[in-house]
Amino acid sequence: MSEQKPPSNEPFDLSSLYQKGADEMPPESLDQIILAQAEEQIQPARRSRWASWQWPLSAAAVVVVASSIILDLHQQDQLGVEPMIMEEMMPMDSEMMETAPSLRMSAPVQQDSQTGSLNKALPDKVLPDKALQDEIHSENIVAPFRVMKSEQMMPAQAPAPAPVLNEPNVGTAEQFELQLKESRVNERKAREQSIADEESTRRQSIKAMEFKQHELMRKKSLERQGSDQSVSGEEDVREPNVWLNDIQTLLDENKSEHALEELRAFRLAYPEYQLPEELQGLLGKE
Amino acid sequence: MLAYAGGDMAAFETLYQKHKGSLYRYFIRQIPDRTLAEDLYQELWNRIIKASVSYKVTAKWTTWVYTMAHNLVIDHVRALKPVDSIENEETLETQMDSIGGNDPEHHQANEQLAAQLKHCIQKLPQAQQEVFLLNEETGMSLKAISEVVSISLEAAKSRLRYARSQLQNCLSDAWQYLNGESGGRS
Repeated sequence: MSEQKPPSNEPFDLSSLYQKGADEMPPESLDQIILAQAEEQIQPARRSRWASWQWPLSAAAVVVVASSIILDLHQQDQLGVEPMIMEEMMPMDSEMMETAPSLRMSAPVQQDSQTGSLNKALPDKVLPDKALQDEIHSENIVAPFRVMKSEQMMPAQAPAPAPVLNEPNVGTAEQFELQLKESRVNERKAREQSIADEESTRRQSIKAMEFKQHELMRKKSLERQGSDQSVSGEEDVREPNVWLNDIQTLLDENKSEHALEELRAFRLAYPEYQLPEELQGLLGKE
Repeated sequence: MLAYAGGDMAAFETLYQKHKGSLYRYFIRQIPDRTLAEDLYQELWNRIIKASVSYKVTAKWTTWVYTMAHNLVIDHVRALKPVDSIENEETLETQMDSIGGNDPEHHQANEQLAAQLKHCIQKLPQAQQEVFLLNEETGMSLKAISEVVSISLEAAKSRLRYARSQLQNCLSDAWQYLNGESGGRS
């Protein structure tokens, strides 16, 4: 044990001796308690950080939801108004007939409803007097005026049906927008097609009216000259050959003025028909 | 500490692992009642945790923490008187028996002295004891120690000098007792 004794005059190394024995540590349970307290302490801090953003985030979410609902309702309203706009652009037959009372037909009501949209386009100056109008009405020239309404169109011409909005699983808003645009384009195309059809029918009917008017004038002039030629209503449009023979007969009877008048009427009725050389010469003199 | 105040729990765990041993020994060296010492140790960390919200860097963290620890010890232990000398001698005899009496040949002298030093520290007056512990456990300068225990620098120097002197005497006595016992047994 003598070697264990330190030198009597030297002090003990307190620091090294202290550090050698400084091995006590707090029990594990105490460590857990303290760490749990520390964890608990920062939980409110984390909550308070969320709480500081809670109201702004909630308000932003409410604004987003509300605006999307309003937008959706607005789009639905627009689609609801769309048929009303179409009705206004293509007014009812009764309104059209009111705007053109001079062209009312004596035909049944069913036919009347089919002619409405065209009658408005016919100019009054085409019918010079009431006698002529009556004549036209009595001959019931309804067919040239017939115009197909949108309800009577063939399926290929009819506008595409509007998309069903309230159907579940409609898709995203972008798809909905796309469908909406497509349906509007289709409707516009169908509307333009319908207008073009109406226009071509109107032109045909004007031509027919002019022809009919000319025929009536011709009949009246024949009656004035005491011609025995039959001009009954059933023969108002003769066959080209018969008509040309009649004209030739008039020429042979030296009624050249009357023949020329007939020839003009013939040209109006059959503008494409090839005239004989004699009659071409008659027109050439004119 | 600031990181923990910002919600970083890992920062607190690092801090705790670094300082838990020295703080724990600071209490158990000064307070013989282990349960009371652990209560104070827990109370100290509780105060640290609560103070983290308003913590501002105005001094070294160790100075701040040991000032709180010092206040806790003062509040709870100031009334304790230095251990009676007769009790000390009895305790010393008992401890020496437990350390080297059964099989002294298998124990190193330094280990015996280290164990005896703990007992000698407990014999010190509380004021000297605290200064010595702060010096050994934290490596604080005397100036920092004087700030922690709210005394002048000269007073801190004096307390530390007296503490070391008494510990030297205590260890010398213990060594003589140990050698005498072992010599008698052999």
